[in-house]
Amino acid sequence: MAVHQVETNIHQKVKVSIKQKKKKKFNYVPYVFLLPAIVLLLVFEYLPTINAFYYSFTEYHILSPAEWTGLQNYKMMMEDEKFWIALGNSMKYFVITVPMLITLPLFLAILVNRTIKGITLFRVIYYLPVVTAMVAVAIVWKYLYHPTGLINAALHGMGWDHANINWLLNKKTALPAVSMLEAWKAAGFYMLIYLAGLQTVSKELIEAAKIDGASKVRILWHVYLPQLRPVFAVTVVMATLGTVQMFTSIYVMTGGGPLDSTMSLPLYIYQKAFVEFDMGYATAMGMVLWLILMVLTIINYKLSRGGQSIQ
Amino acid sequence: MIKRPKTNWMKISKLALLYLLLIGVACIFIGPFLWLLSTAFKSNSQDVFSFPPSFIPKPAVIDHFIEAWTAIPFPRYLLNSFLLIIIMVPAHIFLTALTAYPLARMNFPGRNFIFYAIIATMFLPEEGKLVPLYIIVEKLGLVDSWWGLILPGLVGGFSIFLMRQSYLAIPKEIEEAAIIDGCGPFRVWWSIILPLTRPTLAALSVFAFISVWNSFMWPLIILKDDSLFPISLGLAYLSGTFGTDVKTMAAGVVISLVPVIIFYIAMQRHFVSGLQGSIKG
Repeated sequence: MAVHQVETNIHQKVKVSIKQKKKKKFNYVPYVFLLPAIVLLLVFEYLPTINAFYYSFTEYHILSPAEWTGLQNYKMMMEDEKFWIALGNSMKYFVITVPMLITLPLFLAILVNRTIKGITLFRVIYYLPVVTAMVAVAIVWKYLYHPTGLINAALHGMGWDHANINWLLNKKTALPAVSMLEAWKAAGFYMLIYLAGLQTVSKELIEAAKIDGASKVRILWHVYLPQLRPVFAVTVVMATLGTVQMFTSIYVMTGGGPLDSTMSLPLYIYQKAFVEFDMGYATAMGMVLWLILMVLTIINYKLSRGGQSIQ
Repeated sequence: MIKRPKTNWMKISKLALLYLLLIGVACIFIGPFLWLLSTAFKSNSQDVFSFPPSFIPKPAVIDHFIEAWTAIPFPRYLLNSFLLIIIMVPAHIFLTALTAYPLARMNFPGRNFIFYAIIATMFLPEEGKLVPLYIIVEKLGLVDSWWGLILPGLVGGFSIFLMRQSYLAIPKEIEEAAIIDGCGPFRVWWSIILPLTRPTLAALSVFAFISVWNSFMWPLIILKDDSLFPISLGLAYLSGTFGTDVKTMAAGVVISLVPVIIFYIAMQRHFVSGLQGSIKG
């Protein structure tokens, strides 16, 4: 007993002395670890974001200093026809691409979610476009969309005789054509996300459903899909952010044409800022784009959350 | 006994159908690359946009590769991209690992605040800050230089988040033992803890490699001098001037794709593990 007490006493003393040491000496070590990243993030993330609010209320051409003009830029936006076209196009990209990116990759994931010979090879091939540069594949697809290119030839092969569409020079087809490239390039990425989700689905539930005699379609609909709900939330948010920010594919394939029919908001911002050097106006549009992304993300988040609480 | 061969037949034909479907879908994803490859090898006398389309170059020539390599500054662009990777990937990994360490393993005032402030940068809009970021880089005198290209992209909230998850999975005892043995905090981090996070480091490096090789928008904005261009920017620039010369352009695109595809095939298991790690996290 006595020995034990002495021991605990020593323990307490040691503990107290450690505490005192800690109080006396300021531990600078963690801050040394953090310093480089904090400096970089302050200068290249937080400072520009704060500046963005300011610049959006100014008239600013890079050579002369920024001049406060209040809501001028935002008023100008309301009357800028091209801004509304770009905004409308971004919404069209959203409406066409996001449903494709939510459904097709799920089909791909179900297709490759099995253990048969060579399945890894197929996964590697389906994911291949994801790792390649958008610039490179956009150049390739530009040639594929040629009036006598591979895509029209494939349509011919499927028995459509009038397939000599000039996809990228036609006002009606250019935007869906660019969307197709985006979906093709990103499909493998979302496939892997779904695949990870599918592998977490409870095996017992599937077995139980099989024993109850449920068909494969019913198992997919009633067992897999409800359990994939959190994965859907992830894919919807990522696909939304990705499509509203589309830039490179459009820049390379059409440059926004024909007649602004493929112009997206990011591309218009780029042109205003770095071709016309109208920094203030471009920043104001950037703020609007940010607001749109925030609203879309919050809606998606609420929807997926709301669904969960019902369950 | 009678039933058995029948079910086998069913099984085999089902499997054959499955493979047929898998191959059909694979054609959609790999077809454009095959077309590109065959185009790059076609001679000048063969029409690229013939109907019906032909995938076999008759005869196969390497003239266009030579032209892409000599007539236009392709070697320069490739070298630039390689240099950028050699600089940026290790720097990014080092800073990410350094920053995430105290956030996961040390107790200090302001830790949570700093962590959330770093995570929040993931939600700061790229487009919203693009122009002000350019202005800052311009005021620092870094426009049209690799400093301006490299510095803004060196640290990111997402990698730090992933790295922190990886540190959190390591038992505390390992560190405590090292501290009792008299290791300083940097030694503990560098030689004890960091080697244990190797899978995450590999996954982060793979993603960093791909994103540096493929980056486009920021180089486009920040670089004017074409001797500084990375390959992605060089390609876009060439497609503007050489776009009508389909075969030479195709050869150039093939050259730009080869390093990344080799890298991808060699490292493919890290892509899956990295992605799954990010979802679980």
